[in-house]
Parts: sequence; C-alpha cells; structure tokens
Amino acid sequence: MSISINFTTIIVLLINAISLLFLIFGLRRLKHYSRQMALEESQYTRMFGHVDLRTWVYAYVFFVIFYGTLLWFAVL
Amino acid sequence: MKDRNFRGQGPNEHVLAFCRKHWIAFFHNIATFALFIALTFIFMANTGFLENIFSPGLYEAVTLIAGALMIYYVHYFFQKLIEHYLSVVIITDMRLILINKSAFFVNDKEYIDLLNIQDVHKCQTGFLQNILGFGDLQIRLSMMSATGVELTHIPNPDYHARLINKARVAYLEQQREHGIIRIREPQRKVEERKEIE
Repeated sequence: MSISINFTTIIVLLINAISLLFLIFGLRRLKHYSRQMALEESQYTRMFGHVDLRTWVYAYVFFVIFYGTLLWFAVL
Repeated sequence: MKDRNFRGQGPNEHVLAFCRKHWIAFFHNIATFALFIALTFIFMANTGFLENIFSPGLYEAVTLIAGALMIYYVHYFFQKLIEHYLSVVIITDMRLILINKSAFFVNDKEYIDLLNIQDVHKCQTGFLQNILGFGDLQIRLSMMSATGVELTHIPNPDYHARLINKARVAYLEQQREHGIIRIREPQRKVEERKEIE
C-alpha cells in the first residue's frame, strides 16, 4: 500500500493531529483538576451509580482514535 | 491542614458531603451520542452506495467534512462529560461551594457562607424526579431576601437539604458560642423577661 502525499492526506493528518493534541491537553488538565479535588466518591456522585470518570477517559481515548482511523480509511 | 479535599479549603474546615448533578441531567447527551454512533455505522455500511452517487472528488470532500464533524462531535461530547464530572457542590461545616468547571471553557466558583443561608427548600415534583430520586434545592439567602441560589438535578435532595440545614444550625451555634455573632431576642421574650424581673 502506498500513500501519496496530496492535499487530502495533509488535511487528514492535520485534523488527526489537532484532535490528538486536544485530547492530550484536555486529559492533562483533567488530571490536574482531579488532583485538586480529592473528594470521596459515592453512589450519588458516580454516573448511573457506579460509572466513574476513569471509565469515560478510556472511552474518550478509544473514540478519538477510532474516529481518526475511520477518517483515514474513508478518505485515503 | 489546608487544601486537603479541594483548593481553598480552610485549615479547620471539614467536608461533610459533595455531589454532582444526577445522571439524568446528562442523559440527553448520552442518547444523542448513541444515535451518532449508530449513524456512523450506517454511514460506514453505505460507503459503496455513496461512492456511486457522488463524483470521486465530491465523495472525498463530503467524507472529509463528515469525518471532521464526527471528530469534533466526539470531542464536544466528552468535554461536556468532563464538565459534568468537574462541576460539583461541596458542603462543608462552614460554607457551601458551587464549582462549575470544564477542561478548557468554564471555571466558575461560588462560595456561600452558611450564616448567609436563610432557608433551604427542597423541590421534587414529577414522576421521574420521585422514581429516580433527584430534585432541586432552592437556597434563600438572608442578606437579600429576594435572591437565592437554585441547585438543579441534585441526587437525594432530601439528604442534602437536611445536611445543609444541620450544618447551618451547628455553625450558627458555634459562632454564637464564640461571641462572633449575637442573635437578637424577639421583642415578646424581652417584655416577658422584664415583667418577671
């Protein structure tokens, strides 16, 4: 498989780069804020009673990579 | 010790409880996101059909724009989710702290001294609110009787309303014991005491 560098490839790379940077900086800030608020979680603070933020962070990383790859394969 | 549980915590301040909004406040976002994932799979299954409709150049442009919008929506949804998790109400033995925060866009904090709270009104009306156990808390402030704070979608509102009231009474007693505040006796009681004397 050969990838020719054209305008579309550059745009796809740019979109994915911005997306990944946004993800990394967002998660860094989230970590910083979470450390500032060391509060004990309970069933009233978790989503649906038991889903904590860590689970959503994994989902966030998964979906950003999934949609980035999808764009790559759909366009190129 | 300062800043044990949150930034700005006093050395003698203890956290009694904290809560976030009930998950129902975020549910419409989750439902929309589920629909979005379903649409993505429909889009993926029909790429051949779309290739036949559009010319190659137009198909590429449409896919590029659709992909970029999809990535934007993923970020939008998770940023909203982070905002939901970072926005909390902290009840301490001295004050009520309302934090509304997100990773990049919002950073609001409001501190309400327990002495300023006049009354807490719990409002839990409707089938969903009673079945799922959430409601609103209306906090009336003593300084300006017309103003107040409304906390919406609070889980277990009865518990939190009672906790705020209990903390307020205990803090008031503590301040009175230390002579920091003096509560004026009602006129009737003063007259009764004078009569006895």
